Amino acid sequence: MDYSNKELTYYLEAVESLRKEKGLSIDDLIEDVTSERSYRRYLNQELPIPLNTLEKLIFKLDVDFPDILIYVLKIKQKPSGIIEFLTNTHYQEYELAKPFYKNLKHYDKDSSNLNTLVFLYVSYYDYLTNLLSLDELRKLFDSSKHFFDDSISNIESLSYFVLYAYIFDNLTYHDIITSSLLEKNFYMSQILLFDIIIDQYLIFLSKKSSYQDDYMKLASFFYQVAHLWHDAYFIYSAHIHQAYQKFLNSDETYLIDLKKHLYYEYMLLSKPSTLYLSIISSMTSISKETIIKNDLLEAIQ
Amino acid sequence: MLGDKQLITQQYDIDMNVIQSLAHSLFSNKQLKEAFSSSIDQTFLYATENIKKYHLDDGLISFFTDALHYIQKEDQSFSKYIMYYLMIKRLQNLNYQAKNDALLQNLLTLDELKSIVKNTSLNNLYFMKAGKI
Repeated sequence: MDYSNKELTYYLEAVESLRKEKGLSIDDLIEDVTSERSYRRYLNQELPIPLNTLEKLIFKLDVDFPDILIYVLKIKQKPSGIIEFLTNTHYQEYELAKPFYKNLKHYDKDSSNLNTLVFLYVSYYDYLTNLLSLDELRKLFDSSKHFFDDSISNIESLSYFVLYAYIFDNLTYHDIITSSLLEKNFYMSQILLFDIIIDQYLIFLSKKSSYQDDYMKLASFFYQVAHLWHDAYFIYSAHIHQAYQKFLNSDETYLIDLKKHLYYEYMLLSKPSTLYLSIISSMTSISKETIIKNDLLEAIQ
Repeated sequence: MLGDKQLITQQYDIDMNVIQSLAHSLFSNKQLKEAFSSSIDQTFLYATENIKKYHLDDGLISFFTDALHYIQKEDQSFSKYIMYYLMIKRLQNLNYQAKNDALLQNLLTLDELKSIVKNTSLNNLYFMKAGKI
């Protein structure tokens, strides 16, 4: 895998920190993986670390991926609240998003495309909370298009074009979005944003019957990534797409994933979600509450 | 999740395990339990309303196990904790059966349990409370 990203350096810093904590020498860590010279150059950001090298180093450390992510989040996460705002907005927790919304309304502390993306997300929040019409939102998206790279080489552009597809109900960028999701390894460098983006796109794609093959490919990929990181939100979202993918393949075990998704919903959310209703109603006419109630009654037989 | 591995989170300020440990210390001591008996419900309510998201690790099931140990059957919140307990158990393992659960066997009959599940509205059981964190 040739892809490398400067942000992977954060993960390498976590590797280096955990190496010291574990009392492992550099020689032991890099043995059969890379040279000491390259390792130091990666650390000093003189050379971008290839993803497969990073994965091998994490494997050698014998730690879980979540340990690495926790380090990165604690040490490197920007305190802007962007991720919290995007996450709460995506999962329809508008009350939880509100404090971040106020802080981000006039955000201009980053690159122009991230600032614009934040502005568009704030506008999207306005649309979702009925402060902006769909037409007004579409105009804002159209007039901001030039800030984003339509070859979708960065996460901001990916996020923009996924939201664009949803807002305009438009599949023009489908191929490039799909290959970006599958091939750019954003699940390593920008996992928290990646989770939201792939979930958004899967929800959109689930309604397009002629794109089922790509839906299934992305759903399967998302399921793997979610379980790699062990994050409850990722797993919650990934289970519903895993269920639908199995349903499309006539695999009766889809019910297991559907139930898990719903149990996660009760544990993670503050109120019923409508985000996945169209997917759920494609699989069953039984209400969410009845599915869970019946499952609990099964446990009491 | 809810098993061997701790779940990661984007927010760390309040940790479920801390709340669980606190509740456990408070209610595992008979004298403390008696002294605080009038505020047991409030303590759990406060804890469940102030948990920041994604801490669905082992602390969560320990928390509700403690709750069921120390909450009286007649208590208003008893059925709610039973429901959370069952939901988490079932999420951990979809083959979980209440009849094999010693804790529940000591607390109530299967018929009583069935009645609680049938009569509790799931719409009031969304665990995270918006706007409280």
